[in-house]
Amino acid sequence: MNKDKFLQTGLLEQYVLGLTDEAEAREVEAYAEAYPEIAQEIKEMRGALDDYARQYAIMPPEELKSRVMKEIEGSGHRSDPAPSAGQEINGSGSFSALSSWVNPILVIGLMCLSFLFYRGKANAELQLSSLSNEYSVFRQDCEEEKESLRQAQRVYASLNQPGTRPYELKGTALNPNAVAWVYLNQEEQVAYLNAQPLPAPPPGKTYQLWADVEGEMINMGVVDYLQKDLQLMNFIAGAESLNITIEPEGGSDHPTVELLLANVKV
Amino acid sequence: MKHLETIIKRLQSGDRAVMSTLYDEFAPALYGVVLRIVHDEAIAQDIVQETFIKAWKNGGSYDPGKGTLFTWLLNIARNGAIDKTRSAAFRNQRQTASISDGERNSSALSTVTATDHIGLRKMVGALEDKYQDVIELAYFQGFTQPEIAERLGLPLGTVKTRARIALRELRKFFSEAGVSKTIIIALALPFV
Repeated sequence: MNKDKFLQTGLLEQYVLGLTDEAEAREVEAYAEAYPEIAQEIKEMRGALDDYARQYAIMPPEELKSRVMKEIEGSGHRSDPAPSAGQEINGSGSFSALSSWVNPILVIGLMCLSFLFYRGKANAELQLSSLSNEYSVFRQDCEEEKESLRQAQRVYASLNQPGTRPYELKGTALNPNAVAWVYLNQEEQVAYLNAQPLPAPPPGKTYQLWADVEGEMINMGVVDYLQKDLQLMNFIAGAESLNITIEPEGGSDHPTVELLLANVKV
Repeated sequence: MKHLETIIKRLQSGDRAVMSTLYDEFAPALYGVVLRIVHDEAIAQDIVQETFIKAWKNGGSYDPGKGTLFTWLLNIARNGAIDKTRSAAFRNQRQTASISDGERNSSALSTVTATDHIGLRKMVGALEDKYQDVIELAYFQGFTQPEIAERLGLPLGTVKTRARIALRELRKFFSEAGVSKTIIIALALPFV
């Protein structure tokens, strides 16, 4: 199997998601070793999955870290003896040398003081944990805003490129009123789809965009009908026409040509 | 990336001090994912704790070629979580919840809803639920393809297709979004 065919099998995606068996995993690893592009592809997919998982990050309670670090400290060989036991004994010895009535007052005073400190510390900890929660919420919000801004900027910049051309896909006999827009930029190799004017796909079905290259229909991606903005599709070079078909949910590997909904010559 | 490479080297060489950095870098993401599997904060915290202890003990065996550091940690955490969820009590709880209102939304039962909701909100519009389901079951929960097909009531072929599309969509979404990583690295650097 050549490299491009292999990429089409979807084995790579299954491998990254941990869905392959041992033989399949070995096959993927062999391809990754032979083709640096495939190794890179795997690396990028893994990175995207990591980023995705980070979306669900939740700050664990502060004390979990000290629990973990304590366990780790204790897990290796422990060279230093239990600290301060001897000191305490010495300390109480010197205290006992003081006159007997000073001791109780000192003890009570120290107890009051430590209670006050304890309360102050508990309050501070409470505040700290709520602040750090707030902080993580704000941080996520901020990242979210940044990303959506970047996405909007990308779309905007792309549409304003000198090479970007709009194509109006007109409905076939299946639905003469159907219409959708594709924006192609041959130099930047990007394709955006505006599927908003299309009617909602029938239940259990989805729209899929195809490029006709020398008589072969090549998948440009499944249409996310619910997407309000322009949708970034796979750019296919040398497309002679753009076609939208109705496919079963999840999309197909080959177009159902009898369900061609709209198309346009490029 | 440089930062992660340093962490990996220090972990492999048994540098105890790196565990603090490792924790700061990955604990929130791990905790978030584990909570989605076990839906119990105390159990999730135990699992995260065990994960870092195992990571410390087995750090020498981590092979970057087989997956990212996060995936490695996630595997350890997931095995811990699966051990817990195989207990009778958990099985009962999970069988009573169907996939539709179960897997995706049951975190609403826990007190972490507020934070979790933000995570979900960001992905809505970027990744459809049906693709999230596949990633959730495969990557977060470690089910096999036939198991996923059975749970979602879908043909195996559809699961494969969805896995493909899900990853392609994710890549599209995250490919140029190095922003979050930069922020995390910038925050973790002072602790190195």
